[in-house]
Amino acid sequence: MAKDINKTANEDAIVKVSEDSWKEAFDRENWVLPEVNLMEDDEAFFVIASMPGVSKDDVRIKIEDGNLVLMGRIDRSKFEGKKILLKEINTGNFYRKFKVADSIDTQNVEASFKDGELILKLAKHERIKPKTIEIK
Amino acid sequence: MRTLIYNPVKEMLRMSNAIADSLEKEFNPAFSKPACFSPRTDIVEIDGVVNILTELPGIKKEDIKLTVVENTISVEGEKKLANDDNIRYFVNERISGNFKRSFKMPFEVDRNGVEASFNDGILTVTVKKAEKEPEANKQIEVK
Repeated sequence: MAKDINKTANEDAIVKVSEDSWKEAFDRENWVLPEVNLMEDDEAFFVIASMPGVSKDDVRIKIEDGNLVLMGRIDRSKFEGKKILLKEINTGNFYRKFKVADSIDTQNVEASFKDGELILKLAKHERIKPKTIEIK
Repeated sequence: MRTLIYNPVKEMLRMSNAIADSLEKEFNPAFSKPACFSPRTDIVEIDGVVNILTELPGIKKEDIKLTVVENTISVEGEKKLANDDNIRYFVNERISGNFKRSFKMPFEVDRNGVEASFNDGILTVTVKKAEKEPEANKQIEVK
């Protein structure tokens, strides 16, 4: 897992997932799919994922084996064992995987997280950018 | 005067197009999304204090309007979607538009004690019960 992540240069945007707590959480806790918007323009792909309740430090993004993986840990422990009057939110950590293959430039990924929303800008690989060819 | 020739095949094609169009309208998310949505909410009671947790990801604090009328707490606002003509959508799962939701509490609400905070896309409203005792339930004897 670690050696695949090493090929990414932007360490701020893509963090290694090595903590034991994350590994443990995969077995013990619930994981749900965040709702996403996927968009593109000529230069980049955009991913907006709704992860309400996740704080900025609990978000992990990684690119491995041509997959983009988004993860968010949620801490709802203070509500455990309390009297629940209404339950609509599918409580769980967020996990979603997208196949990006080699269509994106892994050196050029920007991520921001605000108000429970993760916004990713994945620059397109030169190869797949649209090119206009002029007829002389 | 032009002579109109009735062409049953053309007529059937027109009908099948009309059906396809109406089906598309029905299933295309852009048309089927409600004008006003209800954000998902959990309500948890902790030590007599009721916590209303509402999912509002991507909404600014200033865009949320919270009101208390008698024992009803209402949350409303608008979730705006950034619109850019250069951007093409593949998937649009995140709901947008106006939202409104009201919660009627089955007890007397301490209206001055209602507090709200907005963190990481979750609006938390804490509602305390008023000191005033509600009118005692009366048992009516059947004669």
